[in-house]
Amino acid sequence: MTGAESTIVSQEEMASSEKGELSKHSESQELVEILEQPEQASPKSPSEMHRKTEEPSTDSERLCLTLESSNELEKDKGVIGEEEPKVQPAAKTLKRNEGKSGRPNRKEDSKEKEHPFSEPPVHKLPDLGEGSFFSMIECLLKGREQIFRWIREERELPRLSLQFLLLIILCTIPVGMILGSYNNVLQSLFVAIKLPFLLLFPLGLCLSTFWVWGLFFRVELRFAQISSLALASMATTGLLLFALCPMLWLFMDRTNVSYHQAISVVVIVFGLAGVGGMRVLLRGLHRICQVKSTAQLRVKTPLLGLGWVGIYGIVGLQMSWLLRPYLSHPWAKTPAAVFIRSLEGNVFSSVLRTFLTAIGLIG
Amino acid sequence: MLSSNPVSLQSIIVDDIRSIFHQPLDFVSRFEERIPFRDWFRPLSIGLIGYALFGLSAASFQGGSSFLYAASLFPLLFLGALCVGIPVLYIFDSFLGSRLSLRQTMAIGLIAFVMPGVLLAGMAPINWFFAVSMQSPLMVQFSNSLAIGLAAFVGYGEVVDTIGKLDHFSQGDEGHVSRKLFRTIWLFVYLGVLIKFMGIVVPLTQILPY
Repeated sequence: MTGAESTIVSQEEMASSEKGELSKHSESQELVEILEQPEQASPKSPSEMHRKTEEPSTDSERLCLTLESSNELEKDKGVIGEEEPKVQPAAKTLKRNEGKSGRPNRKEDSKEKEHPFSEPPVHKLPDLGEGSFFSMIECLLKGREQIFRWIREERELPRLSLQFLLLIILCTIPVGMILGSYNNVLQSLFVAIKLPFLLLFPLGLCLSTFWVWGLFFRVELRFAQISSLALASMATTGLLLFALCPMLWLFMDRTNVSYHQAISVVVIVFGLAGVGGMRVLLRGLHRICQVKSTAQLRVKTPLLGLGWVGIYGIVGLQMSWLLRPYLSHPWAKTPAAVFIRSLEGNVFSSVLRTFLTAIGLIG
Repeated sequence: MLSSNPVSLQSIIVDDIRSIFHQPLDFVSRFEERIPFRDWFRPLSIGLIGYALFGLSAASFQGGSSFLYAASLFPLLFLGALCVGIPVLYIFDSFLGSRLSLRQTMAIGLIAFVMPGVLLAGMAPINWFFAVSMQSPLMVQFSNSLAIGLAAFVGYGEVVDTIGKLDHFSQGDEGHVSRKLFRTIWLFVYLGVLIKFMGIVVPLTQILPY
């Protein structure tokens, strides 16, 4: 071979190797693009079937496929928690495996083989589609994004709402029994009956207000969606209250804990549970409105959510005043166990009177 | 979203309410041409029912005959105030150079009637609860006034906003400064007129022990 021919051959070899590298690079790029593309009609692999949760789907078949594929992918990946990764994990793996030069990194593969348990164990995410009560509880604790997605897509809202309602009642009954145990067994029974009513009745009163003000602020949610979201947040509050029951029980001891100490603990416990429920409401509202609203909202969703919480708080305050007593104070003249005390004014005038007395304006 | 089921009255009402709240300009544009009376009557009846529901909730404090008076007089209160306010708005706005037609102004008046009505109907359950449980005429009056004031302010504010947008589209600018100023003044004067009407009409409803 002459020098020119060898030069040409070497140039051709270089060009072909560059083409090969380019093709590999372009292949990997295409793969990444495919993974990052919106959903397609016929997905071929679990990595291709992973979709962004922010994109709404109008076709129910594509929707089912998306949910199934996302569940499978989450099983493969072992993703835990409510936050879904913004970057495709398969693409991340691909990019990591490629390394800086764009070629597969064989050293890391061998390292993984040497230490098979270096990654955290895979946990199966709960699936709301199973329809069971306990899968709903798991979703409420670990997979709230799925619940928000179902509410946004209006999937089986009556069933979800009934399950939330049942959960609220089941969780608040033991809390009421523990609260009433500060007095006696009969008061336990009375408070156990009153507490679910105290949480649910004001919510029922406020739902129409939430809907009309949501309409005014251009939140495009139906009444069923708003009620499901509100029940989901209340169910979270109920679950957290149930989880705080042991702590509450420790302080419901009349012989060792004074009345004011017990009241303080009750306020703290309910406050903590309320904050948890509020967090679910605000997050859910933001996630659902992020996708659903086509018109620009008049106000940011956290402000709207806080407004809803404020309205519920005011109505709940008056309701709690109506359903007194919960913990009878030691100097009460009424009998030891009373279901509801006779109506005496309202909570707002009582608070105002207390405040004015405290600052010395009235005797 | 298309449905295989026939369109029900409930869905038509909800669509009307949604179009008034989310797309007021489209709602007004529907009334630019001659339309059947039912297209006027339907939103009007939504507003009337909304005010009647709120009146019933406010009357729960006293009960008895106040239910009938409140359910009939609350809608007339707001309708009367609008019958005073909208012609004034049209005359002065046109005098200051606005090109809005009478039909458009009446459609905007319909929005000003329906929007507070729907807001008040939504707040009716809470208002009922406070009326039944407060045991204080002062607190009940405060609750009623707060609900009415809030609904009226946002409803009539929406009117001013919608007219401003229509002005912008019809004349290519935000509207002359004098028209904008007039509309802002109109909003507060009209709220004052509403309060004055309430002072006359509400004692007739007997919802509170005067």
